[in-house]
Amino acid sequence: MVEVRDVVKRFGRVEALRGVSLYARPGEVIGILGPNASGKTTLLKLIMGFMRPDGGEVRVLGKDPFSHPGVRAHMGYVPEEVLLYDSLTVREFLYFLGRMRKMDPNEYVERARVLTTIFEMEDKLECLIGSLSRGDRQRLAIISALIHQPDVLVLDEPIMGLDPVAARVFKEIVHEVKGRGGAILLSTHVLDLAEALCDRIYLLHEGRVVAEGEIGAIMKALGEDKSLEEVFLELTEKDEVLVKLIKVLKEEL
Amino acid sequence: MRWGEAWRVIRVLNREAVYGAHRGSDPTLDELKLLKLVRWNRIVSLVENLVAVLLILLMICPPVLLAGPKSAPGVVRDTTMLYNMMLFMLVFMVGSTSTLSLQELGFLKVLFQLPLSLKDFKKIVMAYLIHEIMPVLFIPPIYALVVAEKLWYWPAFPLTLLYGYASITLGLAASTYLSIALWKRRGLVKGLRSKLTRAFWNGLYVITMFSIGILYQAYAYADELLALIREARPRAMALTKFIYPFSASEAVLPKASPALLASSLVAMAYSAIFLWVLNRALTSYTERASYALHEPILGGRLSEPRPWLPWPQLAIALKDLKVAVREPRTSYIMVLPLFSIVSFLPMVLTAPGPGELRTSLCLMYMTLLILGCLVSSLVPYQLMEHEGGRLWILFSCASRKQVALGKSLAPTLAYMAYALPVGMAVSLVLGEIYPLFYALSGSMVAFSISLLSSMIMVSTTSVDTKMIRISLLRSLALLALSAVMALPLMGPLLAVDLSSIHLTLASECGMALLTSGLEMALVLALNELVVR
Repeated sequence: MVEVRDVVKRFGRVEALRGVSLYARPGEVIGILGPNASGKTTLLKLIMGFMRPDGGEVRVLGKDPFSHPGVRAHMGYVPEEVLLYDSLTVREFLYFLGRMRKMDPNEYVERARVLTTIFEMEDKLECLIGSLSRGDRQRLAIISALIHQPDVLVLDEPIMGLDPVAARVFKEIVHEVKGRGGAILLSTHVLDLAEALCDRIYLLHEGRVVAEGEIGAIMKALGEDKSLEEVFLELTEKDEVLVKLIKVLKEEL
Repeated sequence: MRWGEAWRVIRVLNREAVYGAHRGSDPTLDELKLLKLVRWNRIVSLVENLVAVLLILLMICPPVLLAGPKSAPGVVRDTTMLYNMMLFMLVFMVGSTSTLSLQELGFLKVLFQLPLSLKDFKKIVMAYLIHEIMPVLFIPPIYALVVAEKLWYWPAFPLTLLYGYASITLGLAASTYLSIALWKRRGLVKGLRSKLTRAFWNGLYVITMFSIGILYQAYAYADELLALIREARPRAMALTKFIYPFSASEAVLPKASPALLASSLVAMAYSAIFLWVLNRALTSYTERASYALHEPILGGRLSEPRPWLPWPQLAIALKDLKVAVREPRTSYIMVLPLFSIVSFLPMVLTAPGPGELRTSLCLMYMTLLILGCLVSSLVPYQLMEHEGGRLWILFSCASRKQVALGKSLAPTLAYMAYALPVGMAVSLVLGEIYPLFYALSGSMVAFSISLLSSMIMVSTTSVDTKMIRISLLRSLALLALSAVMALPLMGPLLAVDLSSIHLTLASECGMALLTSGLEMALVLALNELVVR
């Protein structure tokens, strides 16, 4: 469903991605992990077709999403930084999305009803988005990505700001999308979430994939007694840095 | 916090604005380039400011400089009135937009985590406002010098200066209060009463944004009004020395020492009052508007959506119009052309015969249509400015060409909303159908111009673009391009005898329709082929 081959992306002199490849099959949840500035968000934006890669190619449902933006009709996206229209109400925003997605009114009203109920926002339909809490905005962003029942979900730090109940609901929804054959690409710093949800992970470091595969297999390769956090730190060469930092912390503070 | 520190904060905020404008759209943007852009931005803004100051000075100084010794006091009285009102209006307009930026862009929120007091925040807001109105601050000393030199009366200098800054202070206070009121009332979405309250405040804002045009009309009648008062109640005229803004124009004229002392005291009293009002406004703004969220209105249900829109472009337009009604500061340029009617109304109402009435009506109507077309190039920018940071919503649902088309529909619909009814009214008065043809032709031209402008804008933005700003150079280039594209409307007016304008318009309406239709088809094809 999603295929990324040797993708390179530069911003001026900075090379954000240096030949990254990945794929996601129907019914798979792919975790994209990595420290800050490792290229996760850039990779997701390339998959969404928001920008053109400087090298390599991206295919979503067999098409280049940059040249064929129509493919985004089958994709849902939650960005890392959620900014919404503050002067619209929740209902108006959801209807706007339904219209933008060329959905049948009965269908998007029904989807909005179900999703706002699931995410406990049914009593906030007349609220201005500007009056919502950060958690509510995040829920609304997730609802906006799901309203048209997409085949591919691209989620950048989706549970940021969510309370445990909403986070749990989110996990259930990921299982539901997976169950009906959708592909989910999930970038997160929450390793527990990746461990709980992802079938395979790609670990990015300085714009390169340093590890890929099933979490169990990666951990097995590096020593079964290690946690995902330890594996993450080792592969991203942060383990020694962390030891030094902890030493400085203990000595200086 | 010292003023120097507040100033440094403003420089950081400006840098943030420049970064936000280029982020995402310029892949080669790095720190060095950003610094260059900040410097370039500063130079451009300095040039823009100088041009603005020059234009204002050109409006108020020449009449004083050219006045003869006998007419000088009268001219100074009139221009000083205009000077004060213009300063107030300009500062009010710029201040309203600046206080909006501070609220909308969340600039202050970043500073909340710092241990800053309310007083510090007020200072930052004030520094931001001063930065935005900087060129206006140079006008009072220049004008005061011109007046003092012309009248050869030194007290005129401090008094003109004092009143000038008092007007600026009042303008800042009024814009800050209006921002608070608009912000508070934006939360009102349910119920007719709430909607009417919001409509009142928004209407007030829109009218005041264009009050400089209205002001010129009011100013033309000010002398007549004063003469009427003088005739009816001669004693009431003495009171004008104490009532702002009349007191400002009376204060600068030569007079005996006791009267001078009284004028000086009045000027100082007004300055102190306006400063106090501004201080209160800033306190209220900093305390509430920048922190406050609207009260969430619980409840509601998912009713049947009223209009079914088959195209996402229409959904964008509908959303833009909804936001525009709720927050007119995001798109007030859309209704700017309507205010041109104000300038023509006296001519239409006082037309001596049917021939003159026909001519003045044609002129008024065609000016409205042409002006509407010209500003259509700037409206998409204003609409897009509001999208800053939210472009992911549009780009994840629609293609760039759809976004470009969507962004050009709101200005076109707004254009049609006034062009067609005014066209119908003019048609009825003239007993001819051709004004309606020009309304259609104008709508097509307005659509072509705004689509072209949207195409350029959408091609130079990305999902990461935070702030969309239009530079003076680009806006001038767009206006020039719009003028060329508005030829189907302007053509019949060129090299025409004014008295036969209606005949020319009637004979050329078919050609205008045809050329504007071709123009529209060409721009639509361009959008289809070029925008990626």
